[in-house]
Amino acid sequence: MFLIFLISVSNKFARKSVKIDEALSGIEVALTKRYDTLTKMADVAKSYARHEMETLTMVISMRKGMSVQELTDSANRMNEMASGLNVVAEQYPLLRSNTVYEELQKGIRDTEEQLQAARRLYNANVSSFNQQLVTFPSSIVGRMKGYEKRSFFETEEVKMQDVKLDL
Amino acid sequence: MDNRDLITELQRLRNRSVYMMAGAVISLVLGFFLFIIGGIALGGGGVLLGIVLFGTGMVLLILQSKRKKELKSYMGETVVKPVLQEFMELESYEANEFMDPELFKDIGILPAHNRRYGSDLIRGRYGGHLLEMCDLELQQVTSNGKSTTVVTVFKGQLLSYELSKQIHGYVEITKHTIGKAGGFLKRLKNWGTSVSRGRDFEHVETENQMFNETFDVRAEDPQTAFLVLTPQFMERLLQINEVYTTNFCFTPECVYLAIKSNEDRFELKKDIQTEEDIMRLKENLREDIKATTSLLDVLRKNEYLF
Repeated sequence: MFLIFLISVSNKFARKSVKIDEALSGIEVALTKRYDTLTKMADVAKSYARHEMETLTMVISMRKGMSVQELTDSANRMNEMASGLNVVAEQYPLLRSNTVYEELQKGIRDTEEQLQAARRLYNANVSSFNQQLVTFPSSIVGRMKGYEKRSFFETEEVKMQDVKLDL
Repeated sequence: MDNRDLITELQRLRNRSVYMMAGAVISLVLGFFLFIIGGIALGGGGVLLGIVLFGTGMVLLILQSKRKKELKSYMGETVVKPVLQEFMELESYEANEFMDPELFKDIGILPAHNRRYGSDLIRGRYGGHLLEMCDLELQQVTSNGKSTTVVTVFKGQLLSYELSKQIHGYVEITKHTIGKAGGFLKRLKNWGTSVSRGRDFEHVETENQMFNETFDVRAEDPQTAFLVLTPQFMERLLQINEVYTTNFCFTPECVYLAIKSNEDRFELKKDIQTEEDIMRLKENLREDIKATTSLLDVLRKNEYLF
């Protein structure tokens, strides 16, 4: 009986772990796409606002097999770069109306949706894995197999702030 | 045609249908009794009369069914069509047709069945997108050689609605029926679904616990399921579920909805005698259509899909 339980819970952990890894690679793909689009947008913007773009360019590293923390850092840097590009585009109406830039902006919205979905899928899988790891009796098997809590993928996209109302 | 003519014609067709039904029932009952008792009391003549009456009843029953269809077609042309045109760009309305049965094989939101009926096939555009819908009744008929059992497994509306964007693979959202999320029964069911449908479905658990407890989500690509199921959309689906049991199947080009309303829409439920009855009938039709379009409006609020 105990053996059946052990095998069943072990398999559950293994399945969830695989799901987490798959979801993480989904985040990686979405981030790489976003990175490519942002780079193209920056190239187009350079021809309109060379000076502003020199101060905006930042180092974002993207490679295969990055950890959750590294992916989070890259995502946060991309967020900063995206908002910087938005500020530049606000100052240069000609850049905003450039058809290539417009297309890239649409593309970035699409990649952001993909990233959001990948992030939610990853976090849902992590939450399910972590719940199993801390609840009895599966926690015993989890400890036996040496599993550890997995970290969530959290970017700084949404910051909780007090809302100031001018009445 | 003014309302007076409409009332007269509707009454005429309805009366014909009702009288034929009454005649059929009387003939069948009398025929049956004459066949059983007549043989004893009246001899061979009684049995023969019984057979003739029974046969007449059957013929009347077939004719009544035709008259019923005639009444439905007439009502469809004169009353339903104009009301539908208030809500959508109507391309066609066929009162006695329903959606292509071949379609049911490819969508996993309808229960297993071996007999189906349908009516009120509507084709048109709602909000600029192609819409096709019909009334549908599905039955599972089982027979053990001695008796036959007929169970209605679905009664309501089936509709397909075109999406603005192509999505990647199938996503099915059905009311939770068996096993707990991620449990053995659920995995077994998903395996059965994947094998029978020839698609590689995966059970998806969202971050919304209440949604997971209410709906089963199966997807060929879990990330697509999360693209479709935004947090706001999940909340809206939960609200809809309180009114109608609705199952959804998102395919690359369109979404299918199976609404288990347990009623036929666009039916003439009672006799039409006055202009007020006509107005009430039209108002009921509008309510029926609104019940469906409100669901489509919820879908259209999903920015990823539309």
